Amino acid sequence: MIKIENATFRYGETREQCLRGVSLRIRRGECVLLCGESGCGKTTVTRLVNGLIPHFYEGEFSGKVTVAGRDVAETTPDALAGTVGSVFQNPRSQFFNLDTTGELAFGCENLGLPPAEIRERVKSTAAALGIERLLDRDIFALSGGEKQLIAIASAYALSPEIFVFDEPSSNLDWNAVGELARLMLRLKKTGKTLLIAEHRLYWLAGLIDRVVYMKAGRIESDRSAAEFLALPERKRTDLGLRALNPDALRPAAKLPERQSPVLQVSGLSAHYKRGKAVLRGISFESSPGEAIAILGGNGAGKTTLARVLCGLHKKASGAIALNGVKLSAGARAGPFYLVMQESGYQLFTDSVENELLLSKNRRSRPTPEKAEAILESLSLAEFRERHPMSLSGGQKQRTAIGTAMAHHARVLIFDEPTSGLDYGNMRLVVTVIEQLRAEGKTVFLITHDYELLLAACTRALLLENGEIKSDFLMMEENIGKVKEIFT
Amino acid sequence: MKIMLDPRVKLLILVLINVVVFVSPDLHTEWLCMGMIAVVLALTGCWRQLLRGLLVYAVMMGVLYLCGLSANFLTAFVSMTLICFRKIMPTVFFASGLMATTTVGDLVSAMQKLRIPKVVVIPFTVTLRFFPTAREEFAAIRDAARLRGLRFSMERTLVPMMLRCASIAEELSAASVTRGIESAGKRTSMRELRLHTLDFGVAAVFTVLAAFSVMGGIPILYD
Repeated sequence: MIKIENATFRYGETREQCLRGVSLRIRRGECVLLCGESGCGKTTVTRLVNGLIPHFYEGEFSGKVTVAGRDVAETTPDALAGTVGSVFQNPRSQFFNLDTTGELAFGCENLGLPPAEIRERVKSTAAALGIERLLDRDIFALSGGEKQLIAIASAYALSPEIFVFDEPSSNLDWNAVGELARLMLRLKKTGKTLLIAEHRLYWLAGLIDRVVYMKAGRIESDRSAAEFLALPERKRTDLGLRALNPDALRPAAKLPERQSPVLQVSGLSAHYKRGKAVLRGISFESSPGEAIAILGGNGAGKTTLARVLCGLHKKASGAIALNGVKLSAGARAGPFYLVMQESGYQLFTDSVENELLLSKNRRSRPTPEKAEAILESLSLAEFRERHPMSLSGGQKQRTAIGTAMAHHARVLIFDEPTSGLDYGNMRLVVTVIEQLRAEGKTVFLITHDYELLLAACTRALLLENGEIKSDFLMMEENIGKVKEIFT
Repeated sequence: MKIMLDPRVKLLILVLINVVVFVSPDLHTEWLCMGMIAVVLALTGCWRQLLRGLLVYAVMMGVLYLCGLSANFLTAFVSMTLICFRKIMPTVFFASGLMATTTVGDLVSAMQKLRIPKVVVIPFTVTLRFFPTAREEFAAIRDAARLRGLRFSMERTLVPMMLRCASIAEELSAASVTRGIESAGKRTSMRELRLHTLDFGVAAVFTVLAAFSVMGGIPILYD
């Protein structure tokens, strides 16, 4: 069905060869996982199959790619649209319409199908994928997971034989990943050929037939799924891969010694304009050196709690005190800092070094020595001259953390710090969190990454309907509670 | 009872209202125009837009009347500004109803029916789709600045915003290429539009109004 012969590729503006001779054959109805560390070339392989290379991304390409008997280089992307359906990483940037039904019809409209047939296809697609409830909705009001289902449906409406997925679960929470897996299993059962490039592996176990491991633009190994899933844990981390079997993971963060609490939150409630309360009487205390996971489903109030803590959301009642001093929302910006999911938003200057020195007034500017020490501790020293926007996701994130350290933040809140990160980069985040804890900071994490949760957190707060449902330490005897949340 | 107008008729009415405003007839013709728009909004069920528009218009008229009572530099300035805004009120008034009752899909298929070329229709759709995105991006950047106690500045807001939007635009283009947007053939639309008697009727009434305004509006009735 898919035949790649000795493909090499180098993106236009870069020097680095991205693919160095990749050959791969995928039979009809097979489901193949492409995995490997960030930058290994797995995304690029998906682009060979859907024709974005060489038709959209410019660069030097050699080799031959044949899909369903057609030479991709000779076939225009619109002619391929009915053969290969694509689903991308970011649910926010792959839909074209404002409403879901329009999005499902979009591809068919482009290809000029008759209106009656388009309506029929929209209906049958929704029925086949079991997503009727999502028709006629405002796309911007959907959750990330629902957007991803719409993206699959929109590709499905063109009835392609092949689906390629580029890190489809990166931005999704635990439940949404489950739903995505069920939908992909349906595709597989109808005989579609699936090619998936992905970091998170645990959810693919029941789906994949073969696993192709890539490294530095080459295919290193090509195993059957059974053989791959049987790899020992040690081998898996050596390959830089995320957990295959989350059940085997154990809490690994060292609990801090008992200290008197520095942060006191009492009776915190919050609401949105005209809406019902999102937080209802949240109270807890925390000590320096704790890393607290904020867990809960969609709409439980996790994001609102983070926004209230760092003073971004002001419609709140209750008290937040640091070292016994009650702080207003305005006074919390500074001692509290939020590291956003897309930390690129948080960088405002033209170099990493200037980013650390940027402050609201001269008094609060860190000394050059302090900035230097922070750059060293976050392994950013060699990038000091670089423009923040030219950094990788992980480097941007560390720069944002650096600005918080430079300005004496006491409480750091991370919003999904490891979405889309491979094992190596996730370990770096864990190391930074350990460092912050050792300096006596309090760290909060909103995360749906089970592996990170066990590696980095010392305590968990479970929110439900805006209230704290449970509050426990991340210890071996509580692992049952954690598992219950993540099923 | 609620009626539905064809998006093509709505676009035509929008153009005709602009004609009325452009030839700037006397106040009474403007009131007639506002009144007719109000009837259309009522028929199409846009009560909220109707009340809000009329209220804003009434307040403007009231303030203009008060300014007329005493003539000095300040009132003259306020009047001048308000008159400018009052002039565009009929257009804004109708557009608010248009936005509330027309989906992007309808608008796009109307544009295709009018044989507006794809190079215009597609960028138009993307622009509409980008408004909510731009709002989300802007909110995130504003939050990020607030977290660091930085004040709003053009450079600090617009530069990151442009960079972010550029990367979203690239991802979006890649996604749309895989959905066949570059297809050379004729694009179709899921919705089929048909003009009904009512559409012709409403269009005719507004055409008469525009012609009447061009001829001079209500004052010609007195001559």
